[in-house]
Amino acid sequence: MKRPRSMNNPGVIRITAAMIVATGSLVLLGNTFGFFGSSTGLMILALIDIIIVGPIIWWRAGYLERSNAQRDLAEAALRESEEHYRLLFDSNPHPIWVFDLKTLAILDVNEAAVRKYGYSKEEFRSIKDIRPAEDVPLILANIERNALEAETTGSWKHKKKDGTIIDVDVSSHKIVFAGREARLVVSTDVTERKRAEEVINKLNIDLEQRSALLSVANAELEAFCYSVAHDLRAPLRSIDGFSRALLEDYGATLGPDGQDHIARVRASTRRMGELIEDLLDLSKVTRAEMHRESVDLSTHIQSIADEFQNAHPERHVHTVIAKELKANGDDRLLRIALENLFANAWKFTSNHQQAHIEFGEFHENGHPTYFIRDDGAGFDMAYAERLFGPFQRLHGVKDFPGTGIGLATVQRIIHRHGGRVWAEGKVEQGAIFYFTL
Amino acid sequence: MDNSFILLVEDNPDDEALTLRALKKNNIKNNVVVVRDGAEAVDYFFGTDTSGHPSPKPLPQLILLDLKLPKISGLEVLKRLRSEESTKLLPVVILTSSNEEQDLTSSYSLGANSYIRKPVDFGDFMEAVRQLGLYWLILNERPPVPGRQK
Repeated sequence: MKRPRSMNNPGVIRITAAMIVATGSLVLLGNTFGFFGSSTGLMILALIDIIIVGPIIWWRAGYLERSNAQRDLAEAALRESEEHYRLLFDSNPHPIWVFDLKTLAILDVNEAAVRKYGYSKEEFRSIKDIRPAEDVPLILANIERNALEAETTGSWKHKKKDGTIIDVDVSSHKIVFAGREARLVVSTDVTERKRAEEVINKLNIDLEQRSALLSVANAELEAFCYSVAHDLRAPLRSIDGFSRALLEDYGATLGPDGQDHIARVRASTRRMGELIEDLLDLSKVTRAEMHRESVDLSTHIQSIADEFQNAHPERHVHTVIAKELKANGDDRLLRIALENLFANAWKFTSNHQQAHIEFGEFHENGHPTYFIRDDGAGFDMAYAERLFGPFQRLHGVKDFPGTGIGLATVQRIIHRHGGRVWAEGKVEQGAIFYFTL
Repeated sequence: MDNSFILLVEDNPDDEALTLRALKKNNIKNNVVVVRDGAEAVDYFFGTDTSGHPSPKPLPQLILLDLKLPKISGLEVLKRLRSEESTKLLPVVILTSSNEEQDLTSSYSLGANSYIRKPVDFGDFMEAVRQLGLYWLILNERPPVPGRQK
């Protein structure tokens, strides 16, 4: 709607003034010339008046009408806008209220607050404060502090009409309301969330405690295993020593059968000694502290391969080692793991004239997986699960010596690095051992 | 006549018997004096007679010292031996079943001359004793005994 020019528009004033001046001049002119003496003169005067004044009045009236209409429209718009905002306030799902900064009295409150707290609008206006009594000094201090701040947020406890206390997150800011300095407060019930947080915290503490207990239990178990294994050695020595003494001193009296018995006794004690040593080594691996650094796996494998070849020059073993394979882990422990894996490959290819051992890596999902492959005796995949158990063997001692602790050691080391170890094999077609770190 | 002898400090009677046997089997003819715990060992060297006067006993050519001893530990005994003028230079060979790195370090730090682990296998044990005897009793030069009878 086009706005008509305001009555205060200087252009309008000029035109009106001009018209008055013109009319006045004409009248004076008429007077001078005695024009208005005759009736024609008067008639003309009247006509001129009507012609000039009429439109002015008409125009003015139209203007007034338009401005009234405008004002009505504006008023309607204002009412509509007011209703919008009142609606926003009242229908807001968060409890909102405004309180006077000086008197702390609540000036206005929305429907959600009424619903949540249980006080009616009038009751709201009359309660001094919605917080439980013990918090009042805190509040006053808070208000003092916040009086200077435009906007604040905080966590509080509020008391509903029925006495229950709820946890709320309160956000408030300064406004001028009905001419008074006031604060608008929006409160959000976070009781549920706080309960949930408390539960989670408790669970976490519980978990930490149990984790600590578990660590202690593990450490104790390790210490126990270690001391038992250690203390078993002395009696073993006695058994072996005196069996031999028996053999040496009374062998003749014992005869071949007796000697055979003793021989078996001694063999068993020797085996038991080996098992104990291996157990102790394994437990040492678990107890040792880990220092992570960049480890050159290729160099280790090469030096291990060289050691084995030097120790057994009669063996023909062709080793292929991928160059420059590095990983992050404990240097000493990884060496032990590689030694065990290589020793296995070496041992189980001992029946072959020509043996082939390969060490390398491939990438899966961006993670490097290392492998060591041999073309030796292999194993039946049906028993693959038992491979890594301590003292589990898939071959008899007569076929291949060993206590079955090597792979258990490897597994423990790899697990300490957070990796996985697994194997594939086919009887008489070799085996591949994989690990990640 | 060779009056040098070996002092064996060992609490386990089986180990004692086996060690003696091993020495005999290896033709090590020296006498062996056995003390069976740490207190006895200290007493041997630094004991006093009934009137409270020190009663010096003859010093051994070699001391075979076990670490796990009742009353006073092997390491304590070693410390004591190394702190006295009269026994500071005596050759001490630690003969123990422990393979704890800590024990190894402590033994050498406190001044042991050698550290031997007792093997489970008696054959190995015999071999160890044979080498021990050869080395410390025959090959090795005894330290001079400070200020006392030769």
